[in-house]
Amino acid sequence: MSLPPFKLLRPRSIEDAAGYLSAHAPDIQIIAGGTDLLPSMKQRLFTPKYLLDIRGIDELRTIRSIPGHGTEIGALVTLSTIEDSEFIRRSYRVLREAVATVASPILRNMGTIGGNICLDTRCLWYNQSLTWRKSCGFCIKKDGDLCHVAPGGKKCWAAFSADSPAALLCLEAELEIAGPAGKRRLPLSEFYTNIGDARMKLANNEMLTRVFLPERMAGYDGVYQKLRLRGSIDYPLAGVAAALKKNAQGIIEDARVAITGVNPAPLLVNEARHALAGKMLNDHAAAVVGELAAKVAKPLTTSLLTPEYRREMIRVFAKRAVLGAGTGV
Amino acid sequence: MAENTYQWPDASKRKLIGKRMNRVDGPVKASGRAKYTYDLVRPNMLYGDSVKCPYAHARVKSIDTSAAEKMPGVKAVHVIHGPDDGAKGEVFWAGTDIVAVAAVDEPTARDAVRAIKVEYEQLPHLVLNDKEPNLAEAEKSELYKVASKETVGDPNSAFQQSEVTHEGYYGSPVITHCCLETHGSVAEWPDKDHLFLHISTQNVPGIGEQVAKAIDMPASNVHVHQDHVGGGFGSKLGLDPWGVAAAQLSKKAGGVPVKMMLNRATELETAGCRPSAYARVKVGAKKDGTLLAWESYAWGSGGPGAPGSLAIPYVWKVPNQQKQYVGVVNHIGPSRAWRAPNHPQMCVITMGALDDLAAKLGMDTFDFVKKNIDLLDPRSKIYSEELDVANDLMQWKARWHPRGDSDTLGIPMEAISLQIGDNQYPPDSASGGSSTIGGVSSATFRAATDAKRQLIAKVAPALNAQPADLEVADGRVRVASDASRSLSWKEACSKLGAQTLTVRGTNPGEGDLTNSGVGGVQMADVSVDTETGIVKINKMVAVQDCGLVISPKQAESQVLGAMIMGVSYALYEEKVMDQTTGTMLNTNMDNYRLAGIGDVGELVVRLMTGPGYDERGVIGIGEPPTVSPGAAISNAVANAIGVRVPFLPLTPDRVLEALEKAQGEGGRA
Repeated sequence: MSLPPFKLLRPRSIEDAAGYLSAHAPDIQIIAGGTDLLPSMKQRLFTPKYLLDIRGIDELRTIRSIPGHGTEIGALVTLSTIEDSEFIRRSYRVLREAVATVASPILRNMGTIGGNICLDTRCLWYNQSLTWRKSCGFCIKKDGDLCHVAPGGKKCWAAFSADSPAALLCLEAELEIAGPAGKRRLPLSEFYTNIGDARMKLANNEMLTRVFLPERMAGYDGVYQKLRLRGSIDYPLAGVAAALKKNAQGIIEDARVAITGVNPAPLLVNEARHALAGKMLNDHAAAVVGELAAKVAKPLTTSLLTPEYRREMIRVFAKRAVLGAGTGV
Repeated sequence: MAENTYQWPDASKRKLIGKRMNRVDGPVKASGRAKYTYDLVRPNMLYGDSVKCPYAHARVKSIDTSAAEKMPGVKAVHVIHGPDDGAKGEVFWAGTDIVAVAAVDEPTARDAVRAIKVEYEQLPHLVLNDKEPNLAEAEKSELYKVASKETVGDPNSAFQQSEVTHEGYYGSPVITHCCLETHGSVAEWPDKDHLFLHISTQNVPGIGEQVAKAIDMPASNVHVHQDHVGGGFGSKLGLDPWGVAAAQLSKKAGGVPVKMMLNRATELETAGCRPSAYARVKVGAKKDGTLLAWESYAWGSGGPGAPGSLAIPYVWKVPNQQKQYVGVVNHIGPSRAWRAPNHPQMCVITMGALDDLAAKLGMDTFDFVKKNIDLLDPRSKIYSEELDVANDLMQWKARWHPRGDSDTLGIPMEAISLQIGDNQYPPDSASGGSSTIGGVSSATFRAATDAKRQLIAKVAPALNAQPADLEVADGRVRVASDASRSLSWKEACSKLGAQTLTVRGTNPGEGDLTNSGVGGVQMADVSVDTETGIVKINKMVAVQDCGLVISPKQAESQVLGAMIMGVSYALYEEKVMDQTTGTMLNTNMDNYRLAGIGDVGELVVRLMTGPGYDERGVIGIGEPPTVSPGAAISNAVANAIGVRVPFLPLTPDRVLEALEKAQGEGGRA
């Protein structure tokens, strides 16, 4: 399979990029690492007239600490850079843990944090060649109006399949988005729609430029647990991030748990925070969080493993993530 | 010492045989300089594409190619499967090629494909086959064919005599070929009578004749060329419809090269299936472990055509047997030879049942096999020796524990299992059926022996000696009794003058240089997370006999590759079909998973060599080590969790389901 034809645009600044986006939207798409976009273009899931290669915008390649505020990560910072960053490991461990499980080392060298946040949702009936999709009558997410996963349904249930956003939700990350009217900030928790096709609140003339990690979330202990069939490479079939902070007596002061890979968006398990705050960390507390997380998970048959199994794994992994985050394992 | 017969040299006289040599083509392959058919770009080359049937079972009613033929850039259109082809245009699996086109570039070819109108009549399809067919219904249905019934000895009374019996389900699904280099070719006609074919094949010697027959031309007019093949595993022995189409398209386009290569999705959908094999098996033994009886009711997919059969129990000569096999006609895809055809499936069924029986007897499977070793005739001795070697490498006896001997949930449970395998094939001229090393090295050895003999005859006068007194050693031709009277290889060859030696070696031929039928033992050490069902391979040991080992490094590589393929089919591989549409769901490598380096664990290979093995001559090794991994891993998982996961692949949801079922039945057996 070869790529469809397109024109490549290579801006050197955010302003130029925003200009191109305004001029050509909606016939334009942003490419950074390309690890998600290019295979999808070969399958004709995307056939934009223009590709906006933002890799020339050097200011988006850095991780910067802003004392008193937090840490800023440029959208072009590669996943392997974050994985190897001693600062991130020390201050925002859950992010480092999540990023380290993405795909394989080669893909992490190419893939960027911005791309991982904007990763397309995935489904057995969507990530297929044009010929294949045509033979099955297409689907809601692309070119059709029916859903093979929830027959009769009108909503797209394609699963959000990136690892790092679960960790970023635990860290209360904010996004910087550049558009025709300049820059805006948005909490990551408000970025996703939980709808498989129109998955995120990013207009087609906007681009994600930076991620901010607030200073108040630095130093939380964190763990990311991922259901994957292969140790070597796989999208998450279910993923759970947990970040928590204990006091000297071992009492949990604050905690966050988020899930990914099962719903059309990564989601915070809001009740987990209250379930854990003020408690001693033990098997019981972790098991309670497992149940809470499983309640939030709504997997459908978007992958080859059964939805029941994936929801059960959210329960198991949430329990393990909380225990792991609490014991530094 | 001019020998008249061909004989492999004694161990003391071997120079290169048995030495660790690097692959000659290793550097070009590892560095990417090796060019495969897929890489080829010929001058003025056209790109082929094809219309594929979207239905699992259908009939082609009509084809209209007129719009495509008028498109600029479209140079040829060729109907592969029209309304009158086959059984009145009937198509038996989704993805079947219907019409091929050749155009100046890929996008144009794709547009042409879209412009072709094919009208189909959809027919009912069957794409599931892991359910046990009801025999009464099977005999009435066209989709189930009772292929074989067989009785050996007196199974009824043998089961009555059995003090311990076990019954269970075992099996493996349809899996598909997934060669690193997809199938395809570049065809061109230098003149109207001659076809020049670059093709990804295991069968350079034979593929030309197959093409010639398909398009009705003399085989001598087909020139086949291939520098490297990116894997075949049995799927590249025969000709494919798209291979013929490339030649036809090129001819229609005036002879310019036409490239037709499958992409990854079509490779997975149509390049060929390893048939499924499932069975309900009952086995019986005496309390001391003496194996008495086997009963099996087996079924499997033979694709749309022949039902096939299963030679189970595999390897074991169980004295009393009752066997039945039902071939399932289905629309999953075409059956194709897959590295040791049917052997892995038969091994999974047989060794699963026997391992469960051993567990029920309270015996270590190692002891069970040793106890019944005579039933492995004629390779009882080989297996016995290999078991001992494998025991050392795995520390089997020190580490084995009874099945499920741990009842803590949530802790990865580790277990080991053993597995025996066997393989036996007739020789073949293509690189398949594990016949390459036996055929090629024997033929090469005969040729070299002949060449040496002729060279000695030529140079004997120059050394003032009789040919019988000469030998070749250390790069020199010398008088055996007086090493000072010698010529270097170069000097000797110069005595040939303008008349070069051309010697052709053949196999089969004179002398006992090759053999077939080998034995192997594999052991697996796995961890199973009983809360998630995820299986992790810690270590595998393969002890393999392949007669005389010519190049240990390459022979070991073959075994390693086979073990890695084994991990893939044991844990991940399955052609998953959608029941409603009849199409394959996992047509990409996200969902058709193959093991990565992080999934295979520590792999240990030991080749059996020396007296008792070397004198058998060279024997192929490509296939035998693929036979056992599935059964070894399945048995190790059963040992770890205390219950059998009936069918491969051992996906975590299946592992948990088996565990839950066992707990529901009142704890683990």
